[in-house]
Amino acid sequence: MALRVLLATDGSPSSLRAAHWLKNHLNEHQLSITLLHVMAPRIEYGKQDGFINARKHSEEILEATEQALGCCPSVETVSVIGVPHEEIVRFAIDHNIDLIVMGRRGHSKIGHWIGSVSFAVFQRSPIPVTIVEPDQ
Amino acid sequence: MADFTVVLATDGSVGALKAASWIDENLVDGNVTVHVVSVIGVPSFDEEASNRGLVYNPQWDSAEAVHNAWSRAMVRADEALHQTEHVLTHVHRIERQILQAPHPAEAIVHYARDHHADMIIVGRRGHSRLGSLLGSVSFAIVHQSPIPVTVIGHHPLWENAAAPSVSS
Repeated sequence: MALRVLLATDGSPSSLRAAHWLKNHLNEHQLSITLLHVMAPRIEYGKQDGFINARKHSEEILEATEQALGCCPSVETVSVIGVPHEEIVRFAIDHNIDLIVMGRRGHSKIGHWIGSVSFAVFQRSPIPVTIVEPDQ
Repeated sequence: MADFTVVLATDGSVGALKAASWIDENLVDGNVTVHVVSVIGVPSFDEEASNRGLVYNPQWDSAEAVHNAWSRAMVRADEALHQTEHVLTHVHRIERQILQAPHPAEAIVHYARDHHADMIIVGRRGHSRLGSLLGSVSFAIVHQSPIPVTVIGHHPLWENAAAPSVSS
């Protein structure tokens, strides 16, 4: 049976690297991959075109990640709104995911430290989480 | 699938055995090599040693006492390796190693790098009792590792149902 993998992405170099790693190291024929981007709620969504732009941005992120992933037979892309770590864990539980893969840090610039979203997922996920370290 | 080498850090705790059974279920196709690694501390009868990460116990008053403590730690580590290997029923290539080092996380990351591992796998927490928090060792591994780290947490529903049964 295929391993169901959830790749949580925010389009950062770290999550693109996670996608790349997934492509290189795990047999793509044995995986069913879901790409998830979580849009954090923002006041701008209430403004004109705010939400439309945010959706567009989200689609771009998913597209970039899909490209980094290269060709894989069954890739599904999903974009949801909510608190990122909660939505990632919830999605994984609801969809019987076997493994969550994510980059170590998102867009934050605080050096070497693990990102807040990765850490939060890490702390509470009942499902195995793989954290991929970006290239130095 | 190309060769895939994983380092499984274990202390024989339920979390570590769950990590092992996850590997056994999910990473069996292809040429997977699992290095089962356990780390023991470095005992010392120098009181200052704890500053350097060595294990100090005031009851150890002689070299012999220190040696006995060390032997017990080796036996426990060996048992941890055996229990963990026991869970890995579908993995054909298993390497076992006991490391002795003051900092477990650092030792595991170094070991993984020296053996060109593709991934480190750990249970979320070992024998510590800090509730559901990420264990300090697994956190330190995530923080220091240049290669991907998979942490196997566990589900409240699995708590009683699927604790890996270990018979020796």
